[in-house]
Amino acid sequence: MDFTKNKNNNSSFVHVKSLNVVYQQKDEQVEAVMDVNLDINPGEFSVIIGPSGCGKSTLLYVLSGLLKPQEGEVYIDGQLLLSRRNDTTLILQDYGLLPWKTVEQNVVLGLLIRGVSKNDARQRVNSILTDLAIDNLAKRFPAQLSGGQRQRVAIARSLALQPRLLLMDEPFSSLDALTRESLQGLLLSIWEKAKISIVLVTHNIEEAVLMGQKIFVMSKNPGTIINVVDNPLAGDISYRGKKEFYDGCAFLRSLLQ
Amino acid sequence: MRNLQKLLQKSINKIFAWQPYYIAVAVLLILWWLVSGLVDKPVLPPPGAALLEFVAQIQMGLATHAWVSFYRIGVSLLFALLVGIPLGILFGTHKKLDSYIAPMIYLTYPIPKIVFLPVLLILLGYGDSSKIFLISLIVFYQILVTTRDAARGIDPGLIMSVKSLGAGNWHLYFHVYFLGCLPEILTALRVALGTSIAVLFIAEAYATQEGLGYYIMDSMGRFNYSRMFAGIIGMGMLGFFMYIMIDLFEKMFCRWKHLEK
Repeated sequence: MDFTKNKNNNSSFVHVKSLNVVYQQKDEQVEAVMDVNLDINPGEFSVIIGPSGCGKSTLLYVLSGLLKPQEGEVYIDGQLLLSRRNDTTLILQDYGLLPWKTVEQNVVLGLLIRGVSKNDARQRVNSILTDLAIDNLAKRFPAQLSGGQRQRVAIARSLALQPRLLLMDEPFSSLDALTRESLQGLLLSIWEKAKISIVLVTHNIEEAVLMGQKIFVMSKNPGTIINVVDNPLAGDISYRGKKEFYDGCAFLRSLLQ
Repeated sequence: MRNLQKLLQKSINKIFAWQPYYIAVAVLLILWWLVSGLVDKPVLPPPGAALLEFVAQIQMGLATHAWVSFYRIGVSLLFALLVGIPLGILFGTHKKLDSYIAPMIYLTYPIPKIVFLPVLLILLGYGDSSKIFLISLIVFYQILVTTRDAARGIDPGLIMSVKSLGAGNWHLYFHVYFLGCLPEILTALRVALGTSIAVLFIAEAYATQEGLGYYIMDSMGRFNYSRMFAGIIGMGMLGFFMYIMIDLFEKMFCRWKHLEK
């Protein structure tokens, strides 16, 4: 594990340059994110970690193209990000599933919105539901699912769109420990198979060390990146039991304090 | 054999599901019978006589009058929904616009619009259109305000997440706002149905020779009280039938609201 300064590397898949986001709250201007620079390589699993209120979710919304920054630039795959991209999907903290649609209807929604024919969409959805072992839940509504099952549905809805960049906002924070571990494993296997870039926001140190090949450490007031940690052993479930894992957690904890 | 048994069980269950209705009808008939016994005047005939008259009158024009009333209410509600839902969603999602429109709605909502009936009769004539317009106008407010408030209450996280799938405004309006507000819209529709029947009665009491309102007022004018009550039973059945239709619609399209955990 070592610690490097941000490089402005133009071969990177995601390139963020001096980003500022200001929220208008009543009559006050609140700096959510200040002077953020980051680079993510193609196919990399990166994690953004920081205390609550440090603007890590804001940063994710900017990457998704749904929130326009006041200053700074974001390049994805070499193109300046001006609006939402079809190869980027976002999974929100509370999953964002529509309570009035069944699992199947939720997962197919993105495809129908993008004009995929009903037959193709159905086929793609069926195979993804089977891959994620939720095909038996296809006709259920989100209210009838456990937290872990809902998260699987949200992941399925994203994967159905075949993204190259998957953004996740504290995806496992409200799950119990065992469910969280099994979903972390699931996400890692998806990442290995699909070779997509993932940016995951978390406030959980163990999760960051287990999953993030590159860990961006953010501070509060101002919300900015104070450290970038390279973590080459990440992405393997067995890492969790190793000594290096505990060292990594201790190191990350020291950076956050 | 087993299939037959299942089918039988199913039909029995269905009959028992209607049990509360039988009981309700029985209770109402007994109450009616008691009160008519106490009053003991031709003005309030006993239920038996009224029901016999009802059956007899069905073939003698009552069915046609009921159909005319059903048509007027149905079209009025449809108009109110078609205009009220889109506008409700629009105002519910555009704060600025709503801040200008809301005072206008609150100023005109309490006006008893039934006083416009003479004006409407002059402008739209004595046919169906004046009645339909009046009923639509009155229930439109109920649909509009309910839809707007429901649209305002939609979780912004859902909007963000559906936007991230690539949804444009129309997708959001349909998949998020319309479907999400549908249970509240149907509740508003139930309230509106009661209102529309009350308004219909008044509208049909003037300047028409068709509809249950006319039929009831006409019978009253002839002092034919059992005929009048046949008309009242018809109106009750009409409303009941329409409530059942709304319930069925909700069971089909708002299943997520009635889940067994």
